[in-house]
This record gives sequence, C-alpha cells and structure tokens, in this order.
Amino acid sequence: MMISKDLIRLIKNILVIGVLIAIGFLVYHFFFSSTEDELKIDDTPIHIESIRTIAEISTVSYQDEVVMDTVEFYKNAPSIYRPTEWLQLYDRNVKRRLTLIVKGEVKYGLDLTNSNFDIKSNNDSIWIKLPEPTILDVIVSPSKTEVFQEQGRWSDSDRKRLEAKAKNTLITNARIFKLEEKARINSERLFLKLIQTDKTLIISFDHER
Amino acid sequence: MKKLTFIFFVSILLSGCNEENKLPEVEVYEIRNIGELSTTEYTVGKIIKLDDKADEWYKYGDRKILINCKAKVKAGVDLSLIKEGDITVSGTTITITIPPTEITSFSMDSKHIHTEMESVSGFRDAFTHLEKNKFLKQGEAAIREEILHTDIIKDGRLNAEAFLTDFYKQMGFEKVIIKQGEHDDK
Repeated sequence: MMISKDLIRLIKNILVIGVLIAIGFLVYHFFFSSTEDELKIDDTPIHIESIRTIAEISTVSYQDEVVMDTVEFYKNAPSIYRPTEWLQLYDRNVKRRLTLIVKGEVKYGLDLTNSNFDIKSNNDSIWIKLPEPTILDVIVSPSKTEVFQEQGRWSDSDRKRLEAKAKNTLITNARIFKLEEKARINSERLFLKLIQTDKTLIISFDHER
Repeated sequence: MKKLTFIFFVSILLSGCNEENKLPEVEVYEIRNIGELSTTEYTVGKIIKLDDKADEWYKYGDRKILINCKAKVKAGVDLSLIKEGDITVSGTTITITIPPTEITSFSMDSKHIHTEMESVSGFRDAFTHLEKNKFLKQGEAAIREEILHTDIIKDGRLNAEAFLTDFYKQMGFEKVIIKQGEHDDK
C-alpha cells in the first residue's frame, strides 16, 4: 500500500516536471526563439528589362546617412486611472512609429551620352565644350537601409514615402556643399590627364544638348 | 485609497520599464573625388518569393510573400586609375590602356519595389518591414551576383572603347588603340 502511494507521488512529480519543461519550451519558442533570421528567399532568376548605352563621367561622390522618423500619437492623453490606457501610458502615448536609417550616395558628373560634347582644335589650341555637371546618380538600396524601429502597422506606401524623403534629404544635403563646382574642377583635371598634348587646352561647360 | 495607490505604483513600474529608443544622431558624410566612366546601364527585375510554412508543431498557419523589385546597374571603367604611361602618343596614333571594366553603380530604389502578394493565415504574424527589408537584402545580393553572369561587363568594355575612340578621333587622332588592363589588387 505504501509502495503504491510512493509510486503515485513519483508519477505525479514526473508529470509535473514534464509539464513544466513543456511550458518552458513553449514560452522559450514563443518569446525568445526567432526563426525569422533563418528565412531564405527562393531562388528566382533575374530578367533584363532594358539595356541602355550611356556615357556618364562621375567625378564627385557624396556619401551620407540620414535618419527618417515618423511618429503618430494617440489623440487623447492617457489616464493612469483607466487600466485600458496603461499600455498607451507605457508607450509614452505613441500610437505607432517607423524609423529608418538610410545610407546613400549622390554622384555628380558629366552626362556625355549621345556625344553631348564638342571638340575643336587648331595648330595651337584644343577647345572642349562640355555640359554643366549635374547629379548623375542617387544610390540607395535595401542593404544600406536599416529599419531602426517599427511600432504598429505601417503600409508599404508609408515606408516608400519615408524612403523618398530620405532620398530628397540626401540631395539637399549634397547641394549644401556646392558639389557642381567641385565636379567641374575634377572633370577638368580628368580631361587634362586623358589629353596629353602640347597644345593649349581650353575647357568650357556651356555645351547645350 | 489603497486601490488608487496600487494603480499609481503599477503605472510607475510600467512606464519605468519603457526604455525609449533614442534616435541616433547621424552626421556622417564623405566627399570623394572619383573619375568613373559609366557606359552601359542595365535595368533588371526580380521576383522575391518566400513561402514561410509552419514547420514547427506549435505554429499554426502559413505566410507567403511575393515582392517585385527592379535594380539599375551601371558598368564602365574607373578613369582615375589610369597611370602615367598608360597613354602614349605617336604621331596621329594614340594608345591607351584602360582599367578593367567593373560595376560602377548599383541602385535599388524603393520606388520600384512592390509587394505583389502577401498572405498570412492561422495565428501567424503579418510580415513586418524589418522582415521585408531582410528579404530585399537577400534579393539585392542575388541580383549583384547574377548580374555578373549577363553581358554587362562586356557591353561596358565595348561601349567604353567606342566612347574613347570617338573622343580621340574628334581630337584629330587617326588611329586609336585601346588596351584593357588587368585587375590591380589594391
């Protein structure tokens, strides 16, 4: 009789320990184990949509990092007396927030596509007429974009709006440094390197397409 | 009174736990002098496909997503790498050794990224932007790898040769010889 009581207690203890282990395992998997990192996209081919012959000489590169933040608050301030609003209080009244860190590059240079330049020469001099330097590329990509904070539901168009704003900020930041002038100087230097001549080289940036 | 005091302390505890993420103050910029001649531009598309099946017994439901994305890739030569001695002139003949053709620009703008299909069933969470960005990064890496298997490098080289030939001929040279240099391990 005594043995059977001990046996029942042992079985009960084993069962309780088993249940505790199972609960621990479930809690770990639900809250701490993240399988998202392991998600791999399927192997799909790329398709070429267009091929264009260009002639762009980039002479200045501006690299920057911008932070884009958008936040939406609850209309009413939370009250500590209303338990339904405690979560609101916990979130500092923030309803949703999306913050991106975007690293990008702005390239300045000359667009010489379709022979958009003129060269004339005589016995003493060479005249090269080039177009004004301009922004050739604003480079952004997912590998240089970080989703720093995401709270609440945000649509793709919300995110696109933030990324477009980041791109514009990159351009605005680049313009502060008046890089067209630097691009002009660098272009002159590059053409002097490419044209090895005893003649006088005159470069101007007033070629009209 | 006791109830009010309890609510007050719980609220203090709850709000104290929220370590608000501070936005990083970024002021990192770099201005570099470059000299890249881009001569070909490929626009490539890719469908990013992911089927996240519930492979664990405690998960219920599936998640699927299809994202259509485009990348603009340019190739050409880095003219700043031309050294003294790479250009030689003999009468009306010019010989120029240009650096190897490479990818000069890779851009994957969000303007050309569209989620075509997103399906979530059961008790699964919807895809977050953090997750979508991870899939896009994988897609970008795949495009960067696969683009090298197209003719972009060959086209870049041929177009660079055509551009330089035209340029030097306009300057009065009758014969333009262009040689392709080898990769320099910097």
